Amino acid sequence: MSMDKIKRSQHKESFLNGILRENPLLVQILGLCPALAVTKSLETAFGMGLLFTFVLVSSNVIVSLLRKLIPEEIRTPCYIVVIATFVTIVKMFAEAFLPELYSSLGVFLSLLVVNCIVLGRSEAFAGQNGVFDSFLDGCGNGIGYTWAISLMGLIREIFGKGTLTIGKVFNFFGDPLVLPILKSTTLDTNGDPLYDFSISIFQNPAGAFIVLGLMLAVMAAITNHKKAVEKAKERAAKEAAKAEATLVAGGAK
Amino acid sequence: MNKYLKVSLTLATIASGSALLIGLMNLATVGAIAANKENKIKNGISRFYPEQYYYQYFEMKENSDELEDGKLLYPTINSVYIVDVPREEGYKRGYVYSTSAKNSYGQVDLLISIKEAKIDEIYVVKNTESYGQTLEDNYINKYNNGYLKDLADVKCGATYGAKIVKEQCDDAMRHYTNNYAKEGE
Repeated sequence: MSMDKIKRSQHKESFLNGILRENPLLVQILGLCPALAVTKSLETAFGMGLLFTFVLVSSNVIVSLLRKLIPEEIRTPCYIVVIATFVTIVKMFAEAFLPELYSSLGVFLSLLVVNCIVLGRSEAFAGQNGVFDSFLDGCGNGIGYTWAISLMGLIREIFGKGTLTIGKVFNFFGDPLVLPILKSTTLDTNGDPLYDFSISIFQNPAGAFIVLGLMLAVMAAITNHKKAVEKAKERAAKEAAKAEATLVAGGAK
Repeated sequence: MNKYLKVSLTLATIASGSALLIGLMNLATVGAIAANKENKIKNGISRFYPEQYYYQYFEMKENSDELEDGKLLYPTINSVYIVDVPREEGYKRGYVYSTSAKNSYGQVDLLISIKEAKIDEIYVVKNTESYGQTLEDNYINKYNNGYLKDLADVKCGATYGAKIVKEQCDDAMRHYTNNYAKEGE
């Protein structure tokens, strides 16, 4: 295999690993605190994912750029300063241009400074790899985390609120659109919705744990199924090889 | 010595770079952040008074006259907006209170409109309560839409949140009664 091909496959691996095979939330079980706290709605979770991805990619790139200049003894403090800078920038940006998202995320945006995924990727990957690979790793992990928490947000919003709101947090096009899925948006004479099949526990912290648990179970089932299929294939290949060897030996006799 | 110098220089350079970036970002966003805060208040007041209006306001928590034994008389009130809506003859006056209160479940910031000596409408500026949606659906929105006669019954599925909303409304109403009720509308 040529060097170019090896490099390309390394780049591809750096990007794809974080999305599914080494998903930070569903496989490595990291970054649980914001995942449980900001997934009450799809839009908030997606917004958090976007900001998280920006912080992760930027800090990965800068850490990778500075990795040879930073003395070993002050590696971690330097990484934290870099990450804190991008978190502060993101906070200011959100407060100025996405005020709804900023108020929904609250303290969890600031807590990105000590997020174990961001710190972990800086330490484990960006500190030892080139800029482009670190950029791809940041993108992959960011996308992986974003889709996982967005899915959690979608499930919790639909089951917990009974409705799906679009355009409240990313309010660029006037009034938000509220889709009545499990709960009617029309009220009866007492001010109650006409139908309401929502389960409020999904909006509470306990609901976040339940949804995360179910998602982890599905992820584990898929992984186990894949492993079982691979094992079965290996076994079949071994048996076929053995049968072939027996046939060859019989023929020789 | 060289080693310490290198460490110090590296830290100083990274910290300076960070400070510069943050400073630039602050310059770029400070105007928008201030405008957002003002817009939120204006949006709230416009909701209460869709027609043209003028308002003057004063900060409460900085006003030492509102202290009694070193404690604030109206602890949840941040500021009061006195709104004048022009009429053919003179003007119609209304009062909007910006309040905030928190408990262990989160924080609720409100704009409370008082018209004709009664709490007319409540606008939620910020709500970080754990049961925030329940609080808005079953308590605040029901009051705004006329399904709740008064705010006395806080049992709505988010009792603790409702209690701090009621506390804010009580403070606003008490301040109005003590200061503006005689002026009339």
